[in-house]
Amino acid sequence: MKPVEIAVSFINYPALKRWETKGGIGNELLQRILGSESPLCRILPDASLRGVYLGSEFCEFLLPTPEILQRGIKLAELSGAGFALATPLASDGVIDQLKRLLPLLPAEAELIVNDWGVASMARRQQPALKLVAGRLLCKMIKDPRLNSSVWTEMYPHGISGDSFGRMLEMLHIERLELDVPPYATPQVFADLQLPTAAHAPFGYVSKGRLCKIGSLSLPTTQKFSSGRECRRECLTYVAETQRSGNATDLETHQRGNTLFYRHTQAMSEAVVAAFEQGWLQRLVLPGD
Amino acid sequence: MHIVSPISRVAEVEPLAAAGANEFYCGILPQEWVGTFKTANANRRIFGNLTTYDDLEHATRLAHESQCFMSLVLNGQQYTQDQIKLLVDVARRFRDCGGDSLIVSDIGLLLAISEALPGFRIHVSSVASCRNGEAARFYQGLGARRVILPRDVTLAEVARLVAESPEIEFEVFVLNDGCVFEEGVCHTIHLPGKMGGPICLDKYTSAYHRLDGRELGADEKCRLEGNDADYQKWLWYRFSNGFSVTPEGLPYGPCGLCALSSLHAAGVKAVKIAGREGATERKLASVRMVKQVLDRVTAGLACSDVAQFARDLRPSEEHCKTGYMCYYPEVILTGEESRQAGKIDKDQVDAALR
Repeated sequence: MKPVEIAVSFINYPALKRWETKGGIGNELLQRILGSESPLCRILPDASLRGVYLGSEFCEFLLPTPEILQRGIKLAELSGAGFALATPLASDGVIDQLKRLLPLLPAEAELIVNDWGVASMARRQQPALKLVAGRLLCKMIKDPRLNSSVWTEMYPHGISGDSFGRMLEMLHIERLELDVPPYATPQVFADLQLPTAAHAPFGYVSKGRLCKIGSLSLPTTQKFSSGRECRRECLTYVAETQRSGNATDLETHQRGNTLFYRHTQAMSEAVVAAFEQGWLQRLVLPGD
Repeated sequence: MHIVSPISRVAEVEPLAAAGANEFYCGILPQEWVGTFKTANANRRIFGNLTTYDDLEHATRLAHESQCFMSLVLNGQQYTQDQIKLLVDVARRFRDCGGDSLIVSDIGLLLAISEALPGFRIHVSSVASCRNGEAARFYQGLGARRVILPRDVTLAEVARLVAESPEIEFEVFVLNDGCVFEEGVCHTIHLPGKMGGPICLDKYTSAYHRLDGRELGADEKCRLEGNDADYQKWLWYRFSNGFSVTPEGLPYGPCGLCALSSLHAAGVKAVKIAGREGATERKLASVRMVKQVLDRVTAGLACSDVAQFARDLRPSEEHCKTGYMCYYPEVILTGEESRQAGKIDKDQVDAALR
């Protein structure tokens, strides 16, 4: 098996700061994220930390400030890893902010894009940046309530299709980031046209622009709408979510505007097998 | 500004046109799709589709006879290459029978159609989640003429988009059928009711925890419970006030009627009524409501008078006051609320980040 690349993603500065004070990210964090029972631990001995991600794929309020961005870049250096800025679906206001952040990125940095407009702007304004198609662009069915693999077979993804591939080529996108869908088999990751990372141990189901927890501090009439500022309550609280009486449901939680599921052992085994086949190159773990 | 109405049956075209619709959109579930792929996911709707090409041609002809425009929806979030190939054939048949435009969300399908049917009008679906000018111009470069903005954009964002991309048409939501999540990045299936239905309608419960491992304090629990109660109320509005209508049959639920003056002034090309799967009566009532308000906008009635007329239509003053029934809730804020909206204590934000 080829050496596996590991990347650790951070959305907020406090978590990132912990590792900054320790002089970089070590295996201790990776083990803690995965837990000792995860099949993915089997690939860790052959893995090396290659990426530190900062930012959110899901929320426009979690773009780092220029100051925090610099700290993230520093942590990547300390850890001997490359740096990637993760970006969300964007309004024009977010595009404005990104135009100020992108010139601060190191020449070899990656930009994880989840919006074709962000990709187009970055390609034009900063052609040297390495663009990565994020999970929001690499669409696949990930409903945590499905009780059989028949459902996911009925809705195959189109990421390996020629048309999607040509679009990636037009924008000089160099890498893909995927979730591991429910009932995943290693073949989910076969035939992809670019080097690919899988996120673990959580997949994302759905995201809103409106945010329940982000409305916690707002007056009642201003809750659950766009255009408000946010106190980033998602950095303080997480909600375990569940339906009663559905034994086959995946374990889910909501953080901020996004619903996530935890991988099963079988899904993790599929990821290990995909690495063994050489269909995956990178594993992305949440650092916070 | 055009009123864009859904249809699911040929017989709906003429009455909806008479009620004031300028454009229609419809889906089709071709037999060859079902036969080849064994699913009904050609356009994200299992129901509410035309079933034959004859119906599609007939509906298009009737629309044209009423000086209306007909769009075909091919708005799955994702398609395989084989599905794209088949859908390009469907698009070609639609063009050949006189269809006016295609509503597309999958980027691969959009590229394939623009190459196979150059010049044929493409509208980027709201499912594509396009809400910035860079994306709009990127889609335009691929052949799109119009962008249908997703739900939950603000009026200020709409105005900026239109102003900065004057060569692109923009369409926005005006009535019916809210989504809780962003539909373009919601990777779920609207399951059969016995399996839970749409995930946002499913009966999930939440149990909060602090990420720092500390126990929730009594005050925190109380605030979280209060917020959840508000959220449940918002969901009721988001789902058409519990899927209710007035005694006269006018639909409640997500509504942008008060914002029509602003949208018109911004230069928005068209407003969309959602609900392909809805009953004909609901579609008719929706078109009439939008038409009545829009007539007052184009006649030059003051914004405040237009908004009051819109609120009196159902009437829905009490519902409107909550802000939870609005696609563009900023229109109902008072002057002071407008100043306060979005203004929060920067120190608290900084504290959360420390």
